[in-house]
This record gives sequence, C-alpha cells and structure tokens, in this order.
Amino acid sequence: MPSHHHKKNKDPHRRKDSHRHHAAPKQQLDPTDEGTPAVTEGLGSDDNSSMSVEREDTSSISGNGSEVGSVGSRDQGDGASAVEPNLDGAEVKWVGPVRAPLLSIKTELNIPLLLLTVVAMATRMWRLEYPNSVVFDEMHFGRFASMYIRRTFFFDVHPPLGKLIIAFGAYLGDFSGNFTWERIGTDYPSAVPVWYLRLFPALFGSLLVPLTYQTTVELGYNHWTATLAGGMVLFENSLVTQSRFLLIDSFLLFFILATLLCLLKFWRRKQSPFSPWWWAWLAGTGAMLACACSVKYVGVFTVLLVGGMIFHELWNLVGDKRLSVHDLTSHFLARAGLLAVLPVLLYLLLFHLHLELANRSGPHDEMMTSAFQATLEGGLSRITKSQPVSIAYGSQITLRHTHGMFLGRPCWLHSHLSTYPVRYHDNRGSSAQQQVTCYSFKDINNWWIVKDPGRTTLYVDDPPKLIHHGDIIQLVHGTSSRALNSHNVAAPLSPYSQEVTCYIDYNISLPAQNLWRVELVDSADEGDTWKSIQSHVRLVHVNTSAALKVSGLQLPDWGFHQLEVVSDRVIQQEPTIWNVEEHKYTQVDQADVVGNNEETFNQATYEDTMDDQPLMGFLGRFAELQWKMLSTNKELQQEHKYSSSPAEWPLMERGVAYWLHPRTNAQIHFMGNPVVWWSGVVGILGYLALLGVFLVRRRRACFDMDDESWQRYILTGELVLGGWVLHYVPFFLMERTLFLHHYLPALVFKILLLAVMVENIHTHVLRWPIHRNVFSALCAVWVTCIYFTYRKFAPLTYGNSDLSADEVTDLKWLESWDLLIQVL
Amino acid sequence: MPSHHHKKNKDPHRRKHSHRHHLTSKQQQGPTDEGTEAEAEGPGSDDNSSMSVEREDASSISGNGSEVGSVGSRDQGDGASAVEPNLDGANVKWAGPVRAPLLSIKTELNIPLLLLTVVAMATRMWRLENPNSVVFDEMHFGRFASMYIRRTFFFDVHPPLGKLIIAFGAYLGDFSGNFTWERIGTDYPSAVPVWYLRLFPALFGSLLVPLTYQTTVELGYNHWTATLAGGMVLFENSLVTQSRFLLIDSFLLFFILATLLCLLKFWRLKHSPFSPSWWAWLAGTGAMLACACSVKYVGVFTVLLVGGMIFHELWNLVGDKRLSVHDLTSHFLARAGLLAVLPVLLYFLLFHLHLELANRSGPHDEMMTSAFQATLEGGLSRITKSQPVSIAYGSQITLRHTHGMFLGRPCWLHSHLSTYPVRYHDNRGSSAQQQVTCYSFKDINNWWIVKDPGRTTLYVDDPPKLIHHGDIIQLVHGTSSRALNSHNVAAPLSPYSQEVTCYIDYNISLPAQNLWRVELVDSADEGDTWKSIQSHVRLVHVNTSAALKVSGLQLPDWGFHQLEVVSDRVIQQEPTIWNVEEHKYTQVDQADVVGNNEETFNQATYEDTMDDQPLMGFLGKFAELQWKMLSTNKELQQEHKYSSSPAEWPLMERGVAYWLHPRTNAQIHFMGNPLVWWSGVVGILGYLTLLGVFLVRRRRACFDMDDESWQRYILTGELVLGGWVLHYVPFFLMERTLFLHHYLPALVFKILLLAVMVENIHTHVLRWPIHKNVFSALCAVWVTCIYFTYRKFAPLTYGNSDLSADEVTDLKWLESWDLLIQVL
Repeated sequence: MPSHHHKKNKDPHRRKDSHRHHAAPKQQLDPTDEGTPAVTEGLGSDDNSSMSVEREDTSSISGNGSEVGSVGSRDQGDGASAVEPNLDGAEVKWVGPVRAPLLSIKTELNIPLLLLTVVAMATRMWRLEYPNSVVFDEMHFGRFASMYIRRTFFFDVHPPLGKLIIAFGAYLGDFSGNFTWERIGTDYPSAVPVWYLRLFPALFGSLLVPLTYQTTVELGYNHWTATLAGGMVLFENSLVTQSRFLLIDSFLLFFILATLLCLLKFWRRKQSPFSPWWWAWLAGTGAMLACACSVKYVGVFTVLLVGGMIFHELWNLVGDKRLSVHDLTSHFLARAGLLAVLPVLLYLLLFHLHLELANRSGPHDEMMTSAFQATLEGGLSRITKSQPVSIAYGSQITLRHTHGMFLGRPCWLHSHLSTYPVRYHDNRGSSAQQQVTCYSFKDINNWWIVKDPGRTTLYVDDPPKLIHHGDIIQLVHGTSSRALNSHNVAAPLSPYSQEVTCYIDYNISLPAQNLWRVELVDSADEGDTWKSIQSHVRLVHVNTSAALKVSGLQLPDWGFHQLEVVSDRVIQQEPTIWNVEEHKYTQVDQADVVGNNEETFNQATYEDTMDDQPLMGFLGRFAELQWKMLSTNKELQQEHKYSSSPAEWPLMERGVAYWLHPRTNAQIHFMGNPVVWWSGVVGILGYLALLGVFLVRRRRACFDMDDESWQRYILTGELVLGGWVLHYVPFFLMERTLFLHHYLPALVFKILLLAVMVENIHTHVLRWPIHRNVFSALCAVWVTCIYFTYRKFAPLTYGNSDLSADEVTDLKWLESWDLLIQVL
Repeated sequence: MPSHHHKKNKDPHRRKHSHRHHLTSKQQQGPTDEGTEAEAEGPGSDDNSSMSVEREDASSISGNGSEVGSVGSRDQGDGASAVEPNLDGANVKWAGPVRAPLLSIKTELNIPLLLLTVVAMATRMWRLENPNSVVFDEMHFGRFASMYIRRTFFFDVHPPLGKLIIAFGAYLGDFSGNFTWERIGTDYPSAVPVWYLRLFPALFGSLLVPLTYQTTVELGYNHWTATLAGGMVLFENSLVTQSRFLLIDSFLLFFILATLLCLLKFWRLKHSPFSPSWWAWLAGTGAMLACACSVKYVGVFTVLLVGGMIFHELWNLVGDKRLSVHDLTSHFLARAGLLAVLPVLLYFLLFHLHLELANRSGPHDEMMTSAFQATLEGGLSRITKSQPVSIAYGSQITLRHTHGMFLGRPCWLHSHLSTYPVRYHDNRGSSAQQQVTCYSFKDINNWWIVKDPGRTTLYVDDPPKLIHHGDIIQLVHGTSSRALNSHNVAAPLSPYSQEVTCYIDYNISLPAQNLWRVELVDSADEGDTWKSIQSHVRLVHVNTSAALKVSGLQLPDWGFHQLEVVSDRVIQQEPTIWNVEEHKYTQVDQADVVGNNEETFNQATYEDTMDDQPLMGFLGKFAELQWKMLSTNKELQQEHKYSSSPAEWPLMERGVAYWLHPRTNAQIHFMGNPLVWWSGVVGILGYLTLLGVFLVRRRRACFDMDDESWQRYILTGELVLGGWVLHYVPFFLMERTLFLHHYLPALVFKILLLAVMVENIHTHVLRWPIHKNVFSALCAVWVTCIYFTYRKFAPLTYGNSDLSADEVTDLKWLESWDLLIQVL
C-alpha cells in the first residue's frame, strides 16, 4: 500500500467557495459576487453537492477502520485560504485579456457571517454602561479586577484567566482600583470605567456568534444551518445577559467553542498530517483548551470531550494498516504534546502571571500558609523578614496550625487564664486545668517560649542552642508561665482524644506531663534544624505518644467559642501539623521577668534572619494555591434564593434575578429565550429518536442516507450531543449551590444540535418537495417567533424599561419564574 | 435464503459426551467409561476439540451481525438430553452384536461435579446446629420466620421469598414460633429446630458449587476450569459462613447464578428457536430472575445484566437479514413475555403468598395505613369492624395522619390542656392558645367530635346527617370541648406556616376561625361521602385556605416532644392527608355531658358497619407495602461497628464479627479466603490488560486467537466482568450502611472470572509447552494454598475451636481485621 500519509499533499487547500470559483472562472468576473454564493444554497435545494467534499473528511473520523483512507484522493478544503492570487483569468476576447495586476489580494466576505457578527456586537454592547451599578456577581469579579490593579493577593476558587482579561480591560480604562464592591446595586462612581470593565465580556460574547456559525460549517452543514445556529445564539437572551456584565462565562463559552472549531479544522487536515497547518490547528486546540480550563474548571468537561474524540481518532488510526508503528507513535506523541503538555504549561504560565501580578499582601493572606505569606510584599513578611530563622531553646514563638481552615480562618495555639469546667454537660469530668485552644486571631496569648527541660532558664544562649528533629522541649505559655501539658483525660468535645492543658499543680495525683518531642515533617528534605515559617512540625507528647492536634470543633461558651486542641494517638494526619510563624529570641537580661506583659518580650542577638532565607518557589506556591482552590467549597454550599437544581435547567424553570432598579420595576433577570430552550429539548429528543430509527434500519440493511451523511450524523452526535451530556450531567453529582447560568455551555451545544437537526430533518427525513417546502415555511415562522420572543424578554435582558406590575406578570410565562415586582 | 429458523430442527439434541459416544461407539463398550471422560481433558492438553461445538454457540452471541448464522449448519447440543435410548450400538464381531435391551436408560455421572457437590454439602452442613445460639442477622430472619409460623403481619425491607423459604424450613421442623429473637448470642431453647431453620440456606449454599461448575462449562471453558471455579467457591470461607446460618444471601447467590446458567443454556439453543427446550430455558431464566429479585433487591442488578445481554442478542438478531420482521417480533415478544411479564407475575404471586400467610395483626401494624390494618385479623380491625362507616355531624373520630412516618411511628391529631408559650426562644410571639399536636400513641386526647357549624348540638341525628366532599365542619376536641382553630400566626417551628390551636377566647381581638372544609382526595373515585378508614381527606381552613398538616418537626419540652401540627397554604402535598381511624356516633342523651371523660362517649344507632365494607384489595395492599419498603431507609443508615465502605471490599479490609463464644475466644467472623479474594483482583486486572492488548493487536490485524476463542473471551467479559461491575459499583452510590457480605454476588463473579482467566492464560498467552507446564505447576501450588488458607481460617468460619489470644493474633493478617479477643 502507498504510504499515503508521508507524501506531502501538494493540492492547494481551498475553501468550498473558492473551489467553485476556481473550477468555473469564466462565469465569475466580479470578485464581489463571490461573497454571496453560500446564500444561494437554499434550505430547499437538493443541490448541495459542493458541500460533500467538506462533509466527508470531517465525518470519516467516526467510521470504523475500514473506511479510513478511502477518501484520500479527493480534493481537500481547509477553510483558511480565502485569499489567493488570481493566476488563471485568461479569456480570448477581441481586445485581448485584461492582465492581472502585479500583486493583488482577493478577499471574500461572507455577508451573513459579517452581519451576524455586527448585530451580535450591537446586541451585546448597546448601552453597555447601563445599569450603572453593581449587577450580581460583578461584585466578585469587579473586586478581583481591583485587586489585580492594586497588585494585591487574593483567593478565588476560579482559575485566573477570566479575571486577568477583565483586569486588562480595567487597565485599559485607567481604573485605579479604588472602589469597594460591597453589594449588588451600589451605583458606580464616575472613577470606575464601567465601559472598559464590561468591554471584554461583551466582545467575547459577541464573537461567540460567528464562532457558532463557523463551527456549524466545519461540522459539514450548510450555510443556512450555520446562519440559523448563529442566529439562535445571537437572539438568546441568557447569552446576551451573561455577556453584558463583568462576568467570566462569556470567556468560557468562547474558548469551549474555539476548542471545537480548532479540532474540526485540525481534522480537516487529516490527509496531510504533520503539515504546518496541521500543527497549527492542533496547537490551537490545545491552547484554547487550556484557556477554557483557566477560566473556569467547567473546562475540564471540554477536556473530557476532546480527549474522548482524540482517543476515538487514534483508535481509527491504529486500525489503519498503512500506518507503521513509527507513524502511530508520531501521531500519538504529537497529540500528547500539544493537547496535554502544552495546555498544562499554559495553565502554569497563567498562574505564574497571576502570582506575579498579585504579589502584595491582602485580605486573603491568612488563607495561605506562613511560607506562602512570606512571599507576599507587606503583611506577614514585613514582620517576619527580620526575625531569626532557627528556633533555639529560649525562642519566643507563635505556633500556627498549618493545614485546614476552621471557621474560614487559620488559628494559632493559644491559652488563657480560664480553666476547663470541672464537669461537662454529658457528666464527664475534666482536669480543671488551664484551657489550651486554637485561636483565630493574633493575640498576646498566642506566644509560647521554647524551654530546655534540663534547665530552668528561658533565655537564648550565645551561640543559640538550636533545636533539631527529635529533640525534647517544653512549651511555656508567655503570659501565664504555665507549660503545655497533656494527659490521659478525655478532651472536652472529642472524648476519644486526650485533653491538652497548661499545667496547674493542684497537688493532687495528676503529675505534670509536659515534655514534647519535635518531629519535623520531611526532616530528610528540609534539613535537621527547626526553622521558623519553613519547617512543618509535629509536637508529640512524650508520655503518651499522642500528637498535638486541632480537632476542628468549636468550644462552647466556657471556651469563648475558640477551637478545641487535643492530642491524638494517630500521629500521621494533617491536623497535627504546625509551623512557627512569628519568632523572637529572648534576651538574657529580660528572661527572668517573662510572664508579665508584652513589653518584656525582647530579642537576643542572632545572625541569620529570614531575609537570607530562600522564599517558597513558584511551584510550591502554585501547588498550595491549587490545592486550596480545589478543596475550598464551604462558601459555595450556602443556600441561595435563586439557586436551582440541574433538573430544572433544560426547561428553564427558574431564572436568576441579577439587578432591580431601586425605585421602578426595571430589572435584569437572567433567563433564556424560552422558544430556543424548549425547542432545544425537542432537538435532542429528535436526534435520539432519529438515531434509534436509523440504527435499526441500517442494521436491517436499509440505508436511508449515504455514507458521508451518516458519518456526519454520527460525528454530530459524538461531538455536539456528547458535549451537551458532558457539560450537563456532571452537575447532578455536584453538591455546591448551582445556578441556571451553569447550564450555558450545555445550552450552546443544545443550540448547535437543534440547528443541525433542522437540516437533517429537511434533507434526510422529508422526501417530497412539498413536505420540504412546508417544513421550510414552518421553520421561517419558528425563527420569526424566536426573534419576537427575544424582543419580548429584552426588557429583562437589558433592564432598560420601567415595567408596570402587569407587564411583569405578562412576562411570567411559567409560575416558577421569580420575576420581581416592587411594592411601591 | 432458507428460512432456517422456521423449519423444525430434527437433529436429536445431544450433550457433548453423548455426541462423541455416537461417533465412536466402537471403542466404547461400557457406559460407565463415559463419566470420567471429562477428567481426562486437562488444561495441559490442546486436544479439547470436543469442546468446540459447545463453545461456539455460547460465544457467537457476542460477535457482530455478520458472524451470526455462519455456524448455523453445525450440530447443536442442548445440555439436557443426557438420558437417551441406546439404539445404534451395532458392532460387527464374531459372536454377533450384543442386542440392546428392550428399554434401558444410560446415565452419565460427572464424578468431579458429584464430588464437589458432596464436599460442598459437607462443608456447609457439618455441625449445622453449632453454635446453638443466635448468630448475627439470624435475629431478624429468625424473627420473621416465627412471624410466618404464627401468621403475624410484619414489615421488612427485603421482599418475601428468602423468608418464605426459611419459614418453610421452620414448618418442616415443627417450629411453633415461640421464641423471641432478642439479641445476638442468646442460646436457642430445645424447642427451636435450629437444624431445620438453617437447612435451606445451607442447601442452597451447597448447590452454588455445582452451579458454578456448570456455568463455567456452559460459558465454553473446559472441565478443569470448571472444577477450579467450583473449588474456589467451595473453599471460600465467606460463602461457607454465609450459608451456614439463618441468612438469605445464599438464596440470592443461588438464584443469580441459576439465572446465568439458564441464560447460557437458552443461548445454546439459538439455532432451534421456539423449540420446547428453548422455551423452557427462557422461562427458567425469567423465573430465576424473579426469584433473585424476590430474595433481595440486589437482584435488580442481575436484571440489568440479563437485560443488557438480551438487548445485545436482539441487536444481533436485528442484523440477521434471514429473519423477517415477523420473526423478529416473535423473538422480541417471547423475551419480553418470559423475561419481563413472567417475573413480574411471579413477584406478585410471592407477595400474594406473603400477605396471605402473614394476615394477622402484629407489632408492625402501625407502619401501614388504617385501610391496610383493617385487612389484618385482630388488632385495629377488631376495633373498627363494628364501627359506623360514614362520618356524620356528631361523629366522634380519631384522625390519623395517613402518609409518612415520623419517629418511626404514625400519629394522630391531638390536643391537651397546655397552651403554646407566649414567646418562643427566637422571640417570636404565639397566640398562647391551646396546643394542637400530632401524637404517636393512642390516647383519649386524640378524640374529636365533628360538629355542624349551624347547630349547637353534638349528637348524631336519626337518620345521621352524613358529610360530603366540600362540606364545612367544626372539630371539637373531646376532652377539652374546644374547637380546632387556625389563624395567621406563625407556627412554633415552621414560621412560614400557620399555627393551629384549640381556640380559647381571651376576649382580645383574635376571633375564632374554626371552620374547616372537608376535601376528599379522589372524591370522584371514592364516592361523595366521608367514610372512616377508606376516605383520605384534607381539612382546609375556610378563612385562610390553608390545609391541616404535620410538619414532621418535634416540639421541644413545652410541647412534650410531640409533633408539630400547622396549616399550610400549599394544599396539594402528602403531609396534608388524613384519615379517620376510630369512629363512634354520639348518642342523643349523652351528648350534653361530653367533655368530661372517656365513659361519656357512646354510640348512636346506625346501620352500616365496617363489616359490610369491602376491604382493601391485594393490589392496593401490594402497592402500599412496596412503596413503604422502597422508601424506608431510616434504620438502615445507622452507624454499625462492623460496617464497611465498598472501596474496602475487593481487598477485604474489614470483616464482620458474627458471633463470639460467651467465655472463650471461639468466634465466627465473616471474612473470605484471603487468597481467593486477592487473586480475584489479579484476575480482573489480568482480564482487562489482556483485553487491551488483544484489542490493539486485532486492530492492527494481528490475530492471536481464533474467532471462537475471541468471541468466548468477549462473552466472558460482558457476562462475568459485567456482572462483577453491576453487582459492585452501584454500592458506591448507596447511602445505607453496608457490610462486607454485600460484596458476595460480585465475589462469585470475581471467582468465575479468575478461573476462566487461568484457562485463557494457559491457552492463549503461553505458547511453549514448557511455559504451560510451569504454569500448571504453579496453579497446582496456588490451589493447594487456597485449600490450606481455607483450613487456616476455618476456626473463624465454623467457630468450633477455642482459640488462644495468640492464635487469634496469628490469624490477623491485616491490621484492619477486627478479630475479637476476650478479656478474661
């Protein structure tokens, strides 16, 4: 067999329209005519043979191995070379031919596409600055944009790309970042460049329309269908609403669809593998995928979709015996490199950008570990950078609980002069010694002095006697001078763990057990001495081999609602890890007055300060931030008045109130175009029903459509219906609060499927011209309804008109829609 | 094409051995030689050609359509006609042939199969009466058996078949049912026929071994493999333990495997469709399926497995162009009838039997509605059968909350002389009127009198003035003479609902609002008058259009922890449905002294009593019971010391302590044979790895095994690995408390897969005799180890030997196994 895939394909890659032009140059003299041929292909015409070339190679991927390569000899369009030199315009005429200019460029303008784009821009950007107040989640994303502008570190559960783009808009608009995004409805002062802030969401949201158009074309459907798909996206109220404000969903939708488009363009090149364009579109797919995932983690579902499709494609390649194992390896490595390695690198790059831009101390610092905080300018690093590094006997320290946030805050080991109640509610007894807790605020009572059990002095020697992994220490509480103690008494809230106290000698048979062994986590890696901030440490009680731990439970009144500290025999667990945050050396001459108040704490001489220590590197910071982002879901589980369950989404049973005019009923309510949403469900059911019928009939060897159409039908199912399923079904398994706008990626797939189903029914189900004409007419009516529905709900989309209570009620097509009516 | 499926296949259906006998009758003089023939086929011999006929049709189901029918002309065995007349024993010999006797029966005894069965019986039934005390869940199933014997109604979440079989054993043993199965470890008195009670579980558990053997053979594997599979089931400690006690899992396992065997036998007859045997095995599959589902609902996973396989088979039939649409319809209807309709009928039949047998009032009566209870002998029906049917003005009634169990009990509308506290904890105020609650016990305070708002008298007229759908009534509390009232005051625990009170006139501006409209649920069906027990009724407050409802919340101290009653504007919900349970007519002469004590309640004359009313039919009772069974999961969510998560099952990280000797360390601990469990995981991974390798190699047109073997390999995957997945993965989604023994169905599939993987590796992976021999030797060692591991853990399985603490520790191969050691 010819090694077809190795030879460079020299055929010029032509678009369908330019291909037609090339074949029949005599009829086309005026280049401006070329822009419209797509329009002449009506929904009613059977003559769309010019489409078949494109259809074929997009869809042959879905066939089994025996079909692969059977279409290798045909001419291929690539959809990219609309600009080509006119070299063959020769005609025999009386005055001789008009010569070609020395250098010229012929461009082709797709008028419907252009129109769609322009109208999309108009719908998305019309009165973009209205309403001039904070709308819904603008509160969050606006605040993050301000943070970027002020270069302040912040924590968010979404990856950075969407916020970076918004921040770029803010930068273009010379935003100073001086606005507190406190609550929805606050008016923007004139200093906030609202138009610039909302520009990029609107821009990406507008580009979604041509992207939909082009994706439909690349799927192998005709330009009427593409216009229909684009039009439905264009007049979809939910997409308009979501694009007009400071939200990141329009970026996500754009990148998801761009991934799809790049993938289809890449497949169009399958007959010339490893050509520059092949590489370019493959890289484009990977890059768009990375962008989608870097806007919201919903992009992961797109990764699954692309991964599944690429696996399927590779499986077909494996079945192609003309490909050697070496070829297969190349194919595999190319895809792995550009669809896996490249996106990961891009993702890391964006996080790097994020951490570089937001590198100053800010309000979310305390979410992060001390080591992370030390890398931020200002804040903790200002305190710690001049402190001694190595903990020595006589060090004054605060001990921070390293992992886990309780009550949304970190906490520090703490004691105070109150004792445990003699008897708890459940009648268990306590030791009645001084309480030890974990306290979420910085406080003088968080200070402890590291004491050598063999000596009675508390000051630091010169040179300091450093503490190593495995050393035994006592921890003396700074203000009360009592030592940290534990014993076999049940802890107040965690009866299976031991109580931790500051020891008071009541002269009863309860001796002090106040020796603790320092165990450094990863002591082999980190070196042997206990360092402030960097070292993660466990304090293991010597008598009982139990480790100091925060149970995460909140003490009742008697413990001032601070967090319970216990010691637990299970040592190897995250809640037992601590680190020193602030650190001073106790001076010799003041050590004996320790125990009175803060002013007595002073520092011995020392040489190595934190300034000389290496900061946490990018990868460490990335890993910590990523882990925190993935594990933080507390705040996302709150109830919300407008939250909805995924089951309610396809039929749009609930919208989300975004904004309400302070005085009138003018309001912005996030909801879709009901006709589109409900038709979309019909489209999905229609696809499945037709698929079932066709499958059974093909099984019985009744072939209703040619092989190309069938493969296109299957590809559509895998990519578009598969996309809908992957971007919808996983939400059923999520436990966080969900809103209708989480359905938007699935909605775009649903619209695509609906549009192509119209063409499929027209072409493959209806057999008589009369039926087709009636169907076309019905479709025209339906499209008109879509437009008018969009217009009807436009007041809720743009929030620009004062509605009377009756008008609002009139828009409430479903009882379950919570439109707002002011009580005036 | 010949309509092959229509002509009656006249070939005698022969078993493999008889088939060979037929061809080579000259070499075989003694019929007893035939029984041992299977033994001679070792895994070491390549010459198992006699198997290929069977393999082929068992496995061709898994191929795609183009293969179907290609093997149609071969001779088919049916596995059922081992008994056949010897008509063709002609031999040319000196003395002439020995003539066949006039009538004779040749039987064939499969010695390994027989041995396996006998040993299985021995392991399962050895010292069956020991320990002579209640072991683990015997407590539940024994109690249910007693109930059947005493013909008492009870409620259980499992369907009835397993308990019916156990009850049959109890019946055989003349058990009187007089034993209270109070707690695990109670000694059985001599009146309890322990042997009979445990007989059937042990019997079905023993039969699992030959069933495994036969299923392996029917899958197309050789008799060594079948013996291996049977042996592993035989020496699997968990299966032994679970079979030896009064538990229903061994029934479940038996029926699941029997379903599989019938299905394989059915497929073996695919070339003679609609023959009597074909019908028989199809019906058998359906019957066994119904039995599996009627033992435990886990059987539903078997339904999914069989359903999937049958769908696959039908799909192949659809692709067979020789079959007309009429044939396909017949095939489809036959399967639908025998695999869907028949099982449903059987399931109904078993429930009918259950309700017929357990038809007397018992301790679980109150779980059911009043109408259901009225069908049980004794109990409520004794009270209600002579009471008047139709509610009239002047009726004395108790109102039971129809749907939903709170605190595991029903409740009745109740009031008492306490009032609502003036101010609640959250500072909301109340009306301070008399409390109305729902009380879970029968009480004099549950009685109410239906009063005509237009009259002041409380007695029943003669003839009684009946109450119809839509009538307005007042409800006067019997002992306090105050009327049921509601008003726009927030209820104590459900602030969005209205408070319900018995009205006290404090002479403040809070007028009585005590009119209620009677709304019968399904009033069109049930007739127009309000009947006791039968009618489901909503009481809608006339002033506020809110329905009387139980919120399900428990009142605090001041409400005596009774349930809160509110009225709710959402009328159409289940918690608003009530029914009259007890009912009397108030007599004229005593009506004016109402309000003092119970004795004042007497009955007016009436004619129609409940005795004349039709009882709830079987379907109604079935529907109610079924719904309750499926929705009751409260008690199943309790924590249990020995519960485990599905993730721990494949590697058997936790067992379940079943029984401990009162004084020694002799104990029964439910756990498997570790070697089998752990090897099983290797078997699954091995199957998947080989499948991946083979798939890729076949895709590259490298065919390592012949088509028959490949199809058998795929069938094994679908049926056995599919069975494992379907009986294991769904447990991850269940929220109830799970135990290791829930893994047993999956374990049987795992063992089957392991055994056949041994043959697959031997035949298809190893290519050199030396490798095969080494492998066989290793297998022999491994099998020996399995046996000795079984012996090692036998003390925990049978609980017959006093173990020292050291011996117990010695058995603790994993740290996580919670074996018990008595502190003596």
